[in-house]
Amino acid sequence: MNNSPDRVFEDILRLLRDDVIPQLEGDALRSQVFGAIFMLKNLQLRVDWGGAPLIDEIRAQDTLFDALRALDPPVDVELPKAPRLAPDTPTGGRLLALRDEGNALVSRFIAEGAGRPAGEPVRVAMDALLSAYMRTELELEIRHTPKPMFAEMSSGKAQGG
Amino acid sequence: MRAAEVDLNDLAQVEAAWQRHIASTLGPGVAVQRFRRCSEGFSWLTLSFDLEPAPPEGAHFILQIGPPTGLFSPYSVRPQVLALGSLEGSDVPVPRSFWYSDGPEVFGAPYFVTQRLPGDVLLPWSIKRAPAAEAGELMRQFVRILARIHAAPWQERPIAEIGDGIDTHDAALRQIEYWSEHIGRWSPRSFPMLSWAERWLREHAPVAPRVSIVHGDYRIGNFLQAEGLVTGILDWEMAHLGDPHEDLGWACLPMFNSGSRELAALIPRSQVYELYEAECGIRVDPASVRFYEAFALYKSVAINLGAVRCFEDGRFHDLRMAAMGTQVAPTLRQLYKTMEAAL
Repeated sequence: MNNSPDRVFEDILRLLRDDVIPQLEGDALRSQVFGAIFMLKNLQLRVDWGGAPLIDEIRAQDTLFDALRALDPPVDVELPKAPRLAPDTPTGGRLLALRDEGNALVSRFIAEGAGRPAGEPVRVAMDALLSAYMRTELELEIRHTPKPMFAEMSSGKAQGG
Repeated sequence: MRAAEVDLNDLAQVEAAWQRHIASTLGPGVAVQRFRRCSEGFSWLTLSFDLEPAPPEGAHFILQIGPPTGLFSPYSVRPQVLALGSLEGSDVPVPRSFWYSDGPEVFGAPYFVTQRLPGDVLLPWSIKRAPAAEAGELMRQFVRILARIHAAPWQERPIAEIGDGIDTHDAALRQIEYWSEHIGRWSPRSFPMLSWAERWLREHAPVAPRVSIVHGDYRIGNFLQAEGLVTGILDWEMAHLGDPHEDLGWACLPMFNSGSRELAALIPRSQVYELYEAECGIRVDPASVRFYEAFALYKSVAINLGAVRCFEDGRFHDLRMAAMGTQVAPTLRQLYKTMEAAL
């Protein structure tokens, strides 16, 4: 997810409260939506993006960093010396920060490659490791992304399925 | 210049501001009628209105306002006004533009007014339901019109103002730099695949066959049609000068064509290129189209990240923007596959 959970909750709640409820006819249906609002407010106070996908991404980064250290390319980027996940690593924001710090390092390796000829053995070897990591990262992200509903969101009509 | 204080989310306030402006420019006897919002887009606020009695410019108009909260804010009317002005009088069906300003005096935001053309927008998912022969003919017109846009002389036309010395060797690089700068501004998070793509695009940027007017968002969903005829090409906000292959790559993206590599899932690429070449004489290089397909996906991810930023900043209360943010990873995967296939 690229948005913060708080911001998403905030706007779902605003939409239901300000736009949906005034359009609904009948107290029974409105009561149900107030129930949904109350439950969402409860969730808002208790949830964060799931830690498991982030942990998988950070592990994939650590695997990449191990491989890059073994390759020892002449690149001026300092890699973490050991796996960054520990049993007591907190979830939520800290995991997100670890994942993003790891990806910033990966991007620096990619930028380093830009200064080297395309067929140079070091670059070829580095690129193979980097692209394998990026494919893994995207697969992990996509595994948690539902099928898009842009036809419905543009037309306001159910598309079936 | 004093900025008008108008709540752009309040249609009545927008209409009142426009009525005041019309009265001051065309006279108090001219009334704004049938003022309504046309679409629920993410970017420019689009409204339709009539004037009674009709002035010499006509009776039916479209008003577009670039809200400070919009996806690409801050806005300027210049690219679209200059592109439309450059194609006025040509055989490209574009609306005439009449009144415009980047200043804050009417709405507190840039605005421009064009003629309202007849026809309906054909959406990517509705074209699948149209009879194949009818849809095929529309798409052939769509390709021929694109060819005419690219063949249009621009050096002595208004859009030359934003040319800034562009040439065939730097057309692609300028666009890569433009969108990379936006990605840096919109996303504090680093996406390795975007860094990879930027490097790939820079290393594979083709030389353009010529510098043309580029629409920048030429696809199904951005034209009007009526009774089997394309009656207007819309949404020129990303217009610029560049490589004509850029529009071909964008228009042919599977995500705008029901997931197909054929245009509208109907017309094979080879036929698209033949039609295009026959109309404008610019030879299509399939390798350049493939490059620009990758670039189009890079640009799409940039736009998705812009939507995320806009939503996170609370500038725009539209959950569909958050939904656009969920498409970053699938689009990056498509981008990776497109780069691999282009080699």
